[in-house]
Amino acid sequence: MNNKISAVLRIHLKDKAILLYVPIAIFLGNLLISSIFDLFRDQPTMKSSLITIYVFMFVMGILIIGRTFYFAVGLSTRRRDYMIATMMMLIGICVILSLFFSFISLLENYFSFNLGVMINEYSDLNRFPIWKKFYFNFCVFLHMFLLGMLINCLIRVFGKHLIWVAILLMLGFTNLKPLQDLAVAFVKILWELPPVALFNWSLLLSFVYGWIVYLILRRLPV
Amino acid sequence: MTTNVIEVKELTKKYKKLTAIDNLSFQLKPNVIYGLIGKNGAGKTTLLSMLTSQLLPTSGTISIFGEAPYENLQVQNGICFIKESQKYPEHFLISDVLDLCAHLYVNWDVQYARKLVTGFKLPLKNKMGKLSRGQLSAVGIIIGLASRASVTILDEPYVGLDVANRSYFYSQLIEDYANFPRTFILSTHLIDEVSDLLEHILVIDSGKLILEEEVEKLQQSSFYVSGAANQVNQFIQKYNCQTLHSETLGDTMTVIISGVLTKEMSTSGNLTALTFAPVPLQKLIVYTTRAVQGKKGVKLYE
Repeated sequence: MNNKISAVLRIHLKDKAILLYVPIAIFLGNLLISSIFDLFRDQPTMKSSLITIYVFMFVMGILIIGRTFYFAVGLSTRRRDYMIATMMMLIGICVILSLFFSFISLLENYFSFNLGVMINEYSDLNRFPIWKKFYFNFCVFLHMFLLGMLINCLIRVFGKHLIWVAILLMLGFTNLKPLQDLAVAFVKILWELPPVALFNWSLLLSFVYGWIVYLILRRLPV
Repeated sequence: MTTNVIEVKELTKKYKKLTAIDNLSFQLKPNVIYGLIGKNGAGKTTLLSMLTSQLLPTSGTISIFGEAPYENLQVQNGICFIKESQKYPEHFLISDVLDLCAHLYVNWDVQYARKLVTGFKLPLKNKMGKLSRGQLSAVGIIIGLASRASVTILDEPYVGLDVANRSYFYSQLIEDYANFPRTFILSTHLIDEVSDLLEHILVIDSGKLILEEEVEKLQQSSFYVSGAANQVNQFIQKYNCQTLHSETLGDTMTVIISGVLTKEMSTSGNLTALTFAPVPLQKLIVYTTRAVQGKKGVKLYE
């Protein structure tokens, strides 16, 4: 590992409070508030803390380039080293968070109450063995983070044009029958895929996002 | 093996219709303090950003230490570029940034960085987002000097610094340069303040290199002559001088002459009432660049 990669890792480590502790704090806060609500309700509140963490990872993916890329590359860091260090940090964070939530899920199954790591209380995912839950969380965390990075990069390259494309697509999907059919067929394919195949595809797609992000960062002016 | 530390050939940067850098070529030697001078929007920061691979050129080649700098670890380890608008994470403390620089720059001098922090009276435990403009500039200067990079580039490093801190910066730069010679490129507006530091200047305007000269040679190439208007005109005619600039106030005339002041000129028998003086670098650059751009039709350094 060269000096630049270790320096970028140190930049990311300064953010560990945000990337590591905040998701756990969100989870615990969500659990606490839901539990208080449960005291006053007959039916338990639907606690979907994990989905909040997925959204959090997506937002962090959007923010990370502005927070670290310009600083690191501005101080003579190669873009390749920035990307390597960022991926190392990301995989590390995803592994730790996935382990944490898999462990919580174990507790959830053992004590038979909802701690909020269920995606959906009726989903088959809740009956997965622990390693599959770990793999599922890891794939989704990675996917959401890299999707956030990709969107940020695309906005930096294409600017407001990207927003116009998004508006046109939205109008197309809401008004054009062939596009709606296409979307329905796509969701159907996803729905029929076995869960592990879905995670594999999600992981593969994450690498595609990562590669596109790297190609954009290589040419992004600082 | 190249003797130049930086070689730029036919470098161009275009943004749609705007040409920020226009077919620029030059070479920089090792262990020299260069001044990059130009108006706002002349293309200074664009040029420096391209030298350090923070911006990719439209065409042309850049070679640093004989190699292409883009994504080159060896070259990047030898460069330190501090922009005027250098970005720092707002939640980082000054001490965090300096600790990080110890990993980013292979020749980082911790002791020297501490000395400069004391000299600039920087609060190490303050967050970067809470610093004043002058304090941010001081952090940039500390990184630039303590990095001891073979090529250190400082883009308008003094912005927001008060006179005392600017003076401290200049003295530290010259002292550290004497102890650890390396190539400095200072992009600056305050030409007179740094005129004692600079050894060589590059003047760019509208993305074009319009003047490249050693400061000493440039200063010897012109001089002020002032006195009674008729005597000054007589002097100009006698020595067939080319003027860069002239001002008249009542009967007194002051002219900047392009050429070397010879002993014969300064002791002209019947022109004793004339006074001669060196031209400050800032004025010299202003009038010389005008002349180079052809506004005065003067050919320099004949």
